[in-house]
Amino acid sequence: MSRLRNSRERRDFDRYLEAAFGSSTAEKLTEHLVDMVVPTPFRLRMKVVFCDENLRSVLGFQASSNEIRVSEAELVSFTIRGQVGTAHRHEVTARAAFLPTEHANVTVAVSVARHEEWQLVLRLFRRRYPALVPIYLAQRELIETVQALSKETDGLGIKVREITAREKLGEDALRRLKSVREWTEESIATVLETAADRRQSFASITLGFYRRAGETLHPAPAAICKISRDAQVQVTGRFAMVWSTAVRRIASIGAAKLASYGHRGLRERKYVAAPLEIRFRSAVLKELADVRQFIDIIGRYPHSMRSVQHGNPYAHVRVADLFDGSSFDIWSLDAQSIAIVPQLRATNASINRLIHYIFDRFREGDVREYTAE
Amino acid sequence: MSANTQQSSYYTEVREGVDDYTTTVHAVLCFAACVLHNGVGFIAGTEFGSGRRMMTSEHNVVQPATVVTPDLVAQKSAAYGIVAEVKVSLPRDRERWREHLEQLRKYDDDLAGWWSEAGTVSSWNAVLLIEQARGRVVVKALEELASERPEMVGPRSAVVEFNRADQANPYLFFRSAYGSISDVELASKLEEGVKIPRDKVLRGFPAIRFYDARPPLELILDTLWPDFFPPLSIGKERDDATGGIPLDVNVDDVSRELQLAYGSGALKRDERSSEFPRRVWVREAFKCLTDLGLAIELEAGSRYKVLFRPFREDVLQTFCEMRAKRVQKRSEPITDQMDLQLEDRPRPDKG
Repeated sequence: MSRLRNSRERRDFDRYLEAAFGSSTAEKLTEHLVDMVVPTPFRLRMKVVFCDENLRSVLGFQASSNEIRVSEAELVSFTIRGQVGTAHRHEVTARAAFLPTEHANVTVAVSVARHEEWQLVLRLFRRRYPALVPIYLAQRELIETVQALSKETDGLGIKVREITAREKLGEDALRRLKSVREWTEESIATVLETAADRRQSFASITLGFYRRAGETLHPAPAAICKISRDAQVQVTGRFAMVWSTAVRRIASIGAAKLASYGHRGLRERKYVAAPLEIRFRSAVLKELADVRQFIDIIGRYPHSMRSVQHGNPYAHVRVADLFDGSSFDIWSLDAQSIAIVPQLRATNASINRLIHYIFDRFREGDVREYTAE
Repeated sequence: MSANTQQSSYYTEVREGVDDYTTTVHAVLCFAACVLHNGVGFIAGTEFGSGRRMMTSEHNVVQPATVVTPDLVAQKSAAYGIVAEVKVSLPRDRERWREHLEQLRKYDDDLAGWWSEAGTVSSWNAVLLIEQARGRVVVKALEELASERPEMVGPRSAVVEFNRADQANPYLFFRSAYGSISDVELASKLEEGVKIPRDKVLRGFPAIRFYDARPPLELILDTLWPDFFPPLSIGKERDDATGGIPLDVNVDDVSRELQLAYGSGALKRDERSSEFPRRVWVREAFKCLTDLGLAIELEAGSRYKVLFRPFREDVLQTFCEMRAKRVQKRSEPITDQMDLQLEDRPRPDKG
């Protein structure tokens, strides 16, 4: 990994990025990214998103105080300028582009940026929800993505460098979680084993790729790759390797999820209900305290309206998503599952957001159709 | 009682009412499953409906040649069917129980309107589905009536108790408490008692929220506010003068959509089917919104401008508090007024 030594080099690198992101096509930008060695503190940052609208219109819609300039070339790229920071507000500029995937409505926002510039891009995406729908990975999907990447390393050695996760705050504290960030140099298998023992739920896993001489690994990584549950991937190099394994995989997961969550509102189905079930691996709603915890969590669902119909000893809550007017009836009539019954309107974005929230704040489970057995 | 305590007790009462209503909806569906389901699925050729328009015979001892709309009409075969009325609760005044027993007598008749060519069946039962806590006293009342006025208790009338087991895996339990069920298989099932998990019913009928009896007003409000209005409000600007997002809505359109999504439209229908939730109930909900300052009547009873705004707190609770405050402002005794409003609760007295 290189480091920019002075302001002149920074200016030059900035000009290089401007030229690269000014490419007319996705193929040309990709060619630049494949060869790019990204100097610290920059990272090649990607976020997989779902969008079934015109990207240019979505980006240009209701431009806020941030100044957005969208390219007119075939490649959808944009420059955004805005304020960041709380104590020391200052202006930054970020460049990003959307690279297509093999799935029609799934695209990858890509940027070479420092942390704060990337935050500006992410903030823009949050403001464009639900037109731009974030993709979320379940724990299992994140682990499978990391494992897939570890099998395609172009002969490089691989170690986990860092994890961020949530785990139980002590054995007695059944319902309280703490966030952990740990640095390590262990193998993926060891980290996964430890995580299973500690019942950790990963937020991100950072891998290091190392050149090897026989069985001996170079001490400095040739590239670093961080994969997060919110479908963000950051690399310092080896773009092609990461794209072809991790990013494509995340795009496929996202496309499949969003497709399965689509067309579930009663209106668009001629009033035939299409409920979903989250099936947990154990009876997580057996005790009244579990049901109360679940209702409490749903009660804090952001940007929503709620109505608790029943809370003891089973749960029945009505939830309206105020982003797009979707609404759901949520039932727990079985200690091991939750039924989500989409109401008059239910977009795939809102189902995706609700399920991710339940996974993130309560428990993860398998999503399937809720039908007569 | 302080104003806050009054609001809170009203909310508790309404929530219980909503819960009772939902349980009744599930009891209707569960009992239909009990009669018509063979453990794998609904038996081919069986039919059921709620609020189906049936006609009493010329010889009906209560009301001859009249249209009745039982909570449940379930036809198990070409020859046998059940009409049932569900009661989760009964009024304290026992004299008023007679109305329900009379209704049972009215249903114990060679009713017309079944799903057969002639519209009749050769064998039937009229069932009063009663919450278990009231089962014994109702049976006693029925036995007393049978000895005092034998003609007022029909030969095919029966009482089936049901018990809602509210646990993590809730179910409804049905058991015979009075009378003889004509269908041998069903009689044997009900003699021993049958558990129907609510989860199974929800799987089969996930969106049904209403049946052919007046729901608590708040249940309709709690359907309109978080479900019907939010999609209409997307992309619309808030009106600074009123503080709400103005939505122009038509009571007919709303009623039709609620029926299709959560009521009669979610069940198999024909010309004898009732439509619920009824337009009149939906119109009352809009009148209530007007009263609460959340809507403006544009055309008498048919078109309203709703001033939609998201509620921060629980929607049902917010409506209860708003209604209770409204009553207090009018300086009327809250309990009396609420009692009057609650009087309209699921106490279907139809037919």
